[in-house]
Amino acid sequence: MAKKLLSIRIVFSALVTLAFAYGVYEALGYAYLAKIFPLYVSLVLLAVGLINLALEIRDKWKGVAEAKSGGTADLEVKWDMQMSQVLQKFGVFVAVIIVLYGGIWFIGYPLSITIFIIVLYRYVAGTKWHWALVAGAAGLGFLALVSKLLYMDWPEGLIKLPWPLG
Amino acid sequence: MKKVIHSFIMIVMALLLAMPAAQAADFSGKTIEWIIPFRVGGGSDVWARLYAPFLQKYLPGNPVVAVKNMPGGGSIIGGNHFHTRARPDGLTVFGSSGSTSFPYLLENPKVKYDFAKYKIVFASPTGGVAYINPDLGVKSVEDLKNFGRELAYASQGATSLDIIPLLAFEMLGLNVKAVFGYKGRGPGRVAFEQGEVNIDYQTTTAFIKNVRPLIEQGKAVPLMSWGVLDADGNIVRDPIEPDLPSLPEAYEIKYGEKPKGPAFNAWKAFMIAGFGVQKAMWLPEGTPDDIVQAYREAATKVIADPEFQQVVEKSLGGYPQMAGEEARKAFDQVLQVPAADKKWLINWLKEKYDVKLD
Amino acid sequence: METVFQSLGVVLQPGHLLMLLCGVVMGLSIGILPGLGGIVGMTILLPVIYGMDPHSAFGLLIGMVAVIPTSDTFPSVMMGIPGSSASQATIMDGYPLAKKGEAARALGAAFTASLIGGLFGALVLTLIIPIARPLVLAFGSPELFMLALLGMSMVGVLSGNRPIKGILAAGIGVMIGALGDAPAVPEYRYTFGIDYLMDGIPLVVVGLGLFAFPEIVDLLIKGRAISETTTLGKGWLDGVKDTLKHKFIVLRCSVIGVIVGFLPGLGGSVVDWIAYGHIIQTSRDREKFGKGDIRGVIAPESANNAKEGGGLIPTFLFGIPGSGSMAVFLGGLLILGIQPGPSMVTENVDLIYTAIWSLALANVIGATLSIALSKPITRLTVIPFSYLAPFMVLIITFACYQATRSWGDLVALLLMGILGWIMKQYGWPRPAALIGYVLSDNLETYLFISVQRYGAEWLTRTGVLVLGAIIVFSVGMGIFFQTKRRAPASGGEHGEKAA
Repeated sequence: MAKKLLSIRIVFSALVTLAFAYGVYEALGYAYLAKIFPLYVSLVLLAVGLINLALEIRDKWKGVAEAKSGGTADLEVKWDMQMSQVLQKFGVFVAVIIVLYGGIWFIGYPLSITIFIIVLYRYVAGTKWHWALVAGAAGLGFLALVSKLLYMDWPEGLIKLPWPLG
Repeated sequence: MKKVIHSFIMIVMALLLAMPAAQAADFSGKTIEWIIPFRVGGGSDVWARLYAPFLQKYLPGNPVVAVKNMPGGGSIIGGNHFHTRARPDGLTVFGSSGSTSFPYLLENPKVKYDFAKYKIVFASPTGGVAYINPDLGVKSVEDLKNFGRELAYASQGATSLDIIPLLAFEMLGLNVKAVFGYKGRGPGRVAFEQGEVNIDYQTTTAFIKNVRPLIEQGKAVPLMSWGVLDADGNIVRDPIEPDLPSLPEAYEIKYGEKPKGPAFNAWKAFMIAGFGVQKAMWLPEGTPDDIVQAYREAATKVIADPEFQQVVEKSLGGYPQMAGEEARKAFDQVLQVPAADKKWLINWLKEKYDVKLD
Repeated sequence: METVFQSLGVVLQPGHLLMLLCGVVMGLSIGILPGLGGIVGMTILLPVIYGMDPHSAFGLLIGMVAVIPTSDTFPSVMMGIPGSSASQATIMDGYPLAKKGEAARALGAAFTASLIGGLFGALVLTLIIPIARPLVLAFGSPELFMLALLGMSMVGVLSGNRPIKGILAAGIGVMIGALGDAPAVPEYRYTFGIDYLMDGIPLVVVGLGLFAFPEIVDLLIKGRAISETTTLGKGWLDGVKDTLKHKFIVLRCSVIGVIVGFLPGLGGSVVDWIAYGHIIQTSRDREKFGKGDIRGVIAPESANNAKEGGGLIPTFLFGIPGSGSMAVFLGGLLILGIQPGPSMVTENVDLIYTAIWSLALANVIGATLSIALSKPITRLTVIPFSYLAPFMVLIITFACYQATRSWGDLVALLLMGILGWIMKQYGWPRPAALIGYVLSDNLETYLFISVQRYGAEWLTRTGVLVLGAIIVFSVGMGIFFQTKRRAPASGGEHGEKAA
């Protein structure tokens, strides 16, 4: 039975409900003035969350599909591939971003993002190397420009590189 | 040979004589980073940016003085950053305001910065004037003697600069309900005009611009000012409103004796931190004396500059700015508040406003 | 009346115009990039005016403030990324239009609406100034709470036929907004002891995380371009014509913009949503809203430029910023030695009129420039997204970092991005979350103050009752039209049977 009910949709709803439960729990410990709002809002939302969860479980159990027309475009997601494939690709993207962050941590933002641009241009967009390098240079150039003109900062890495690479 | 040795000694002596001069602080070609732990456009940011071009003019070597905003955590984040990162080479300075001093005084555990260790360069005082709704029938502090009605005051929070008015009202025996949640004195003033609250205070520049017209229209009655420090560290009347009593005077009017005790001592120390030396510029711990001297001298010259005096009149409340020793003595009054009085205040906040300063 | 024309004369002086133009160009260049518009943009640009002489700097300042709502429209339409203080609701219909290949039309309509809306707003403003003070003073904390609640009620409109998820999404937004320092007490909520969270998660991070991040991922996964058609459809001229056709919408929404804009403390951020919600609730055929109805672009865009003009009122008359960008603008005024306050109506009323007309003019310049830019920029919608994606990542990470300049920004961006993506896949309305987040502080603060100050009495105030009635009425109308539309179909949130 559990397997039939297990789907990311339901897990997410459950997590949201759990989050509000936590909200209530935490809010109880705050000073009076600070607790009222989050406490009551969390309580109401916890109730609504439970209702939502119950309805979703009921629907999954009965095999009812989620209503197609959400009404607004942002609620309609159409994929012409399996959801599992979509999730996989999402995972890859998140992993890439984490690697980017790791890069920023070590060698600072400008160099990391430049490498990121070059790599993506070569391997995702499929361009030749020299175009990828041009794109990377454009990115770096933009960063250099705004930081000089407008005093904008970027994260520095553990290894400090000369401007504008770090 | 003799000639060579002779010239050699001359050169060495010349160099030795030239060295002390080279050791005097000189910032030519350098950029001074002035950390302001507040957002762009806020009161302290404006203050710093009004000072910056004049400091550039008078600091030896005419360095660029660049304001770096680091808002966050109510100015604690910027303060901590200055404390941990600033090197004592005169190239990084810090601008603090009352909201930076208060958490420090209240021993907020998140505070890492320590004013006792830094060197003050200059300080800018300001004042506060309290006023009340005319419908209550109060025409001056005299009428407060037997006034028992509940008043409402628009407050930002019990640990903000509002400690000053709240404690002042308490000392005067007024029954004031603090309504928390307002985002600053500006909204507080609007709330007063709307009738949502009936007692309020404003800092001098806002008072002049926004409250005086109300007084003229009969919509507000001025009560008292907090007062300003004189050269000996006593609180005297604020020159902005010379006809209004200062808080200690108001106290005397009501009770017939001068204020004393832990409540007043705490109030005085916090008042100085929040108003008497509200904004100050600091050099980090361990900064060599010649750099400190150079800064203080530059600040003195800035203050004496007639063009700057106009700026002070127009935008900084017209109060005499303090530099060097004067600023240091004034801020020492803040740093030297006895522990017992501080404790009293922390306790008062806890009892009355349920403030947990864990 | 004289002063009005006098100020117009000042505004049209070549020196002033030049400065306005500079301000507009600067504002546009920064604001066009997602995440760098709005308050972030103003904060970056403001230091430029320090040290300039007051008259020139004033023009520059106004120019910058004026184009923030205009430039925000580009990321809204092109990628569905909400701006930080304006052009939020524009994503609902602007982005679907871009996906259909009609980005130029959406932009054309948006900028024309901005232009007309801005001008009309300036006119209304000029007329209101004499009664501005009492009007502002009439809105106390209880009334402001009701207005925030009105903004929240728009969530219903945005949830399509998933009201429960809409409420939950709004709730998520509210709780994220409550994160950080409590409005009145030195208490830090839900921070897990992390310093970064002490001030809460910045709007830029929430907006870019919830909207930009999922969009980038999805477009990469799909492997196509933003526009689902390979040729660009209707052009900007069609957009202009659309706006002129719906001129009453423009005028109505611009009035809404001015009025909500000049109430201090609402942040002006709800204006878009109120205008958007209003247009849906008052339209007979609402089938296409949320899917690319041009009216869904015209309404919020008319309102948000008018709102900047409205925001000048509390800023000048009370010294209280009407919105985030006004707060920075106010700082600019103080640097220029201009002290706003009640005496301005008597002493410097000419300055106020100069500001209003400069704003209107800057609006015109900004909108015209933007229309000129829209053709080349919309070409980006047909380029395979993989060429744009890396730069998008650069811009959004960079923009987020400017929020607090700490690592927390980047981490929060990723986390919000993952949350936003999941919400997108499983039908949780993210605009509802955005509204909840934006209004969280106001809702709590004004409710708080109302209860503290008035006990339960605040509910019986006239303003509160009137606003309450408006809310009930608008929500009611929404439900009424909804059920009418749904009657034939047997759909619903949890209703359709699987095949």
